[in-house]
Amino acid sequence: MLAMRNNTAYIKRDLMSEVIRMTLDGTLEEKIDALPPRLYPRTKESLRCCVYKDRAMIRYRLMGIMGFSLEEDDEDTLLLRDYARKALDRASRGKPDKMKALTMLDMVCSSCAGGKYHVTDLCRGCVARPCQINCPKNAITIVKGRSIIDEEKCINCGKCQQLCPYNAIVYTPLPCSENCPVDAIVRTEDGTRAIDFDKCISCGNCTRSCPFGAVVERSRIIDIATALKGEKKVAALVAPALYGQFPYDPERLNGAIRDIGFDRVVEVASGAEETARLEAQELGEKRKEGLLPLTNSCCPAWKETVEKHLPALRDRISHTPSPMAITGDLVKRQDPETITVFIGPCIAKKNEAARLDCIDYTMTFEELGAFLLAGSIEVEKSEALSVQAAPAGPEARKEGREFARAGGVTDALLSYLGEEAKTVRLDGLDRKKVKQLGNYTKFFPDLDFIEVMCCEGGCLGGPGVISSAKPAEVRLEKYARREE
Amino acid sequence: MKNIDLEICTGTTCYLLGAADLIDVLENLPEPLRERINLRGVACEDLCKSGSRPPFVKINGIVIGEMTSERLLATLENTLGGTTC
Repeated sequence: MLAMRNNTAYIKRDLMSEVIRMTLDGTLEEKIDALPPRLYPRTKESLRCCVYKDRAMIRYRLMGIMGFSLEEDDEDTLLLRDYARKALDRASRGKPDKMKALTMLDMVCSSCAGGKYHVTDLCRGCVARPCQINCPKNAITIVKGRSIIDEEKCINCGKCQQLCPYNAIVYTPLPCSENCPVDAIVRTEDGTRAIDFDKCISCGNCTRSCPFGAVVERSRIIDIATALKGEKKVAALVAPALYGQFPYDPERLNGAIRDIGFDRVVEVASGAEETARLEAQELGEKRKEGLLPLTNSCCPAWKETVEKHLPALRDRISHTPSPMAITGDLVKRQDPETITVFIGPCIAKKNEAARLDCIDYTMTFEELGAFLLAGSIEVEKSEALSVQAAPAGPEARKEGREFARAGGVTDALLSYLGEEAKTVRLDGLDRKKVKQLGNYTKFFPDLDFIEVMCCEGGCLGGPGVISSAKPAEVRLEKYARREE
Repeated sequence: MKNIDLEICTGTTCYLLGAADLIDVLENLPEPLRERINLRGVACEDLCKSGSRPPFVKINGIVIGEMTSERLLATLENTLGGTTC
């Protein structure tokens, strides 16, 4: 996958903060069409063939940022202000209907011809011809003194590349589909890629592996900014991973979230305690019924993988609600009028939230960052604010706060279980692991609990994070352990 | 040879628009080079209101905006003489 910080990430943050700023001061419709030319004036060096294409690409990005889908909503004759009007109208009606979390910007997609091996000019057509002789599918022929791979026959085994004495054979990767754990990226007739939503688990791996930034999430920032402007109280439900994201004092960060306009900051780690306690109970019950292993339900991309791709595990996935669901439920029970916004590292949470009544919106840490940028909020200058536990929920302990790292769920569960359990932790779902999990009785026999985190490193490695995983883990651990 | 004084703005705007990346890059430099850089995080000095864009660094007291990890490595290389990696 791409390095976490790169040009497409900064462009996105810039655009999101502009959209938030305009939504908050009520100028979105009036000013949004001026945004692409302002970012790419004629005098600026273009990233693509010309500034006009750069501007067109910004238009598509802005559609995603305003929550639209290129697959469903793109009409070339509409101006950005028309979309802005629709988005503001949607936002004024409250929580929107269920919608897909991602969209593919087909005009941004570079139609990479990757995912295959090919022979370069370095081929000398040698006499030994190890590529041809060792190809298990007879896919290589020699034409005019050079090897040629027949794409129809080639199975991408890579033997020819390993054996070529001149390093003449290269593999050109196809970043989006190679990083998709469930093979949900398909090729369209014109060569661009599309998302097969029947397979997609909304993990967001494609959003961060495409070097052109062609897959984007459909953001809810306009809806959230509108809620913050409105009369109702808005609660920020912050995922445990938050406290690893910034190099600032956690209380000042809470204060900065209040400065954005939230009325309170509630810790989802508190709900995580309840999830762990209930899941431990469930494990005890399943043991009696002989239905182990149990597997976690807190990672929504993993849950969707099981639902869509792993029938063998369907009766093994925990029925315990996720920390987000428990926290949201407790907040809404205390005050049903409060608007709940989950702030986390995850894109798949959008789909989970759509199925829950207790969560109105979700946004990523990156989107939170865009709100800070939009308000020119300096975290270090914000007044300190304490985080709250979920109303009538348990206080978060170290275990609840460490839910965000790989292995954290298992540790929390064991802390409530009070007996031995055989567990395995898989973090970073890929095709190979999905395959193994489909046949878990063979690959992971005699287990009580399987923890699966779709993202490598757990939630700290999610697609919506700001900080790279290593410093984030150090900061989170410091936060989680500080009361010991 | 003289060491380099490098200050990186750790204000929220700079952090979100690239300073975090610069710090990562520096922490991953090979030991002999890293030792020659006096790295200091500094609070926001409102440099972003001056017209140039974040993230801001100061190298031996000189303010440079729109810093990227590639440019930072190149600048350090020039100032220290020799290569950074």
